[in-house]
Amino acid sequence: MFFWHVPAPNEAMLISGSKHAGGTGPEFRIVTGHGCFVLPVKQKWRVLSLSLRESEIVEDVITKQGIRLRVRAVAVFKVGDDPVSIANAARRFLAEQTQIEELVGRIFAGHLRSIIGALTVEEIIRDRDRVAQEIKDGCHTEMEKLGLVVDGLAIQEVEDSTGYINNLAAPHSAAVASQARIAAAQADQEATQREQQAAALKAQYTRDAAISQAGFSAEVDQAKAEAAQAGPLAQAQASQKVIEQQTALAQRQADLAAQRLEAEVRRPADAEAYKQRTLAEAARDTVKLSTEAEVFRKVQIATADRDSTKLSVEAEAIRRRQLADADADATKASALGTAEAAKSLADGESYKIRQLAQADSDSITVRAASLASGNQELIAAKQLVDALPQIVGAAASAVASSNLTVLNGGEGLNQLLSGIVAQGLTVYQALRQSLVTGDSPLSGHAMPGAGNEDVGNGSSGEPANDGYGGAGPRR
Amino acid sequence: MSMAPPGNHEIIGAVGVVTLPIREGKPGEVVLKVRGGTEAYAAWADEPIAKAVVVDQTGAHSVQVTPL
Repeated sequence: MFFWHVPAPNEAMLISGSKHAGGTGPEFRIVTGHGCFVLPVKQKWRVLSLSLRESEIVEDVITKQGIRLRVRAVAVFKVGDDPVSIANAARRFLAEQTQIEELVGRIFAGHLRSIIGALTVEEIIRDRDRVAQEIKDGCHTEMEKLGLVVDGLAIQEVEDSTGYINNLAAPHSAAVASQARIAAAQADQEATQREQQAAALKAQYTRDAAISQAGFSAEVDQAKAEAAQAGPLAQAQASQKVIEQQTALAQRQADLAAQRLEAEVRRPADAEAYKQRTLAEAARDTVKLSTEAEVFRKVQIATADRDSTKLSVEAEAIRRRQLADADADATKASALGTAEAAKSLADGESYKIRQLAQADSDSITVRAASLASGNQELIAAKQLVDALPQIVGAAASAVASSNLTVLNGGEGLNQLLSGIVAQGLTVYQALRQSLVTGDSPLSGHAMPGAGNEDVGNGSSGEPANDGYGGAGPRR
Repeated sequence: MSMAPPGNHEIIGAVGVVTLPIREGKPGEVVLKVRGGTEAYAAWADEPIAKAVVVDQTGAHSVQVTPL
């Protein structure tokens, strides 16, 4: 429409000339956010921008510690949205809206001086809240009078002519520089170490390479030298072979000469020597053999003489021994026959005596039985008489079983047996007499009986001794 | 003494967040919801606080607050 005006969202439309309700409100209408009729001629309208504005401030200031700084700051502000602020700002800046920044900048410069004067350099640098509080405290009231709202004050740059800030940074920068130098030194050290190690390895490899090269060069030189000397060497080897052949030839010639000498001189000499030696040996052997034959002959003669003598002696001895044996056998046979005869005779005699004694014994037994009380002595005598044939038999059997070789003939044996029988008869007669007379035979004749036995033994031993004495030559 | 002009929204009783600490005798800043947007107001208080309720408007952009 022609008279209908609408402000932009960031603008406030101020209309003057209309009748107002009066009171405490302003003398002009403030329209924001919607349109409005403006009567021509009668009313006048203007627009106040509510958008953000900024002004740059460069100011020399002194801090709380008296340090001079040159500060460059930017203040950001706008006209307040509320009607009071719009009215205040409109009255002051409506005609000079383009100069608001310059004007506010100047005002801010003064405020900045007071704000910085309440702060230290460290707070300015580090304490943002503190700076904002000081700004709010320093300029809020005055800006509110102008209808402006400060959205922010940014300190963009601080120049320090005294070097205070540099000195603040000095310890840290020195420490950092120190650390940097240390790091650089360590790096340099490591690098140098590695470089030196590399150089050492390089030198080692160079040495190895040089050694290898020298070795190969030596081999090459050796091969070259050998190649160069191959011709002379071959010549020398050829000469050596020639000399060897010549040497062999000379050797053969020497051998030939030696063999010739051997055949012509030494063999004949050897043959002659052999002949002489053989002849000498033959002569020596002849003598030796003749001597040995003589010796052998003598030995044989002596041996034969000795053997003949020995044989004659042995023949004589054998002859004599056989004669002696024949005599001994004859003597032995005759003795055995005599002994056999004597034994038979003795058996007959003893049997006769035993029969007589048995007869007497029976008579005595009968007589003893006739006696009433019996006489012990008689009984004993009777028992002795009874035993007498046995005694005599025992003596005879002793002679028979003694196996004596009575060499002095049957004469001795007869004496022996007759002795035994005579003793038996003597005993028997004595006993018989004592029985007839009634005397005790034991008191006087028992001992003589034993004595007779001893005599018997003596008579029997005597021939035995004679027998053994006669056996002496038999050996 | 509140002289809120006609058309200005009443902000007394509004609850705001302190964005700049309020010290004794010196202003801090509270952000209040006004006219569909938010605006920062210089705030005074008798004691340091973190969250505040507006008890009085002392200027176009100045308020007196008390701890909530």
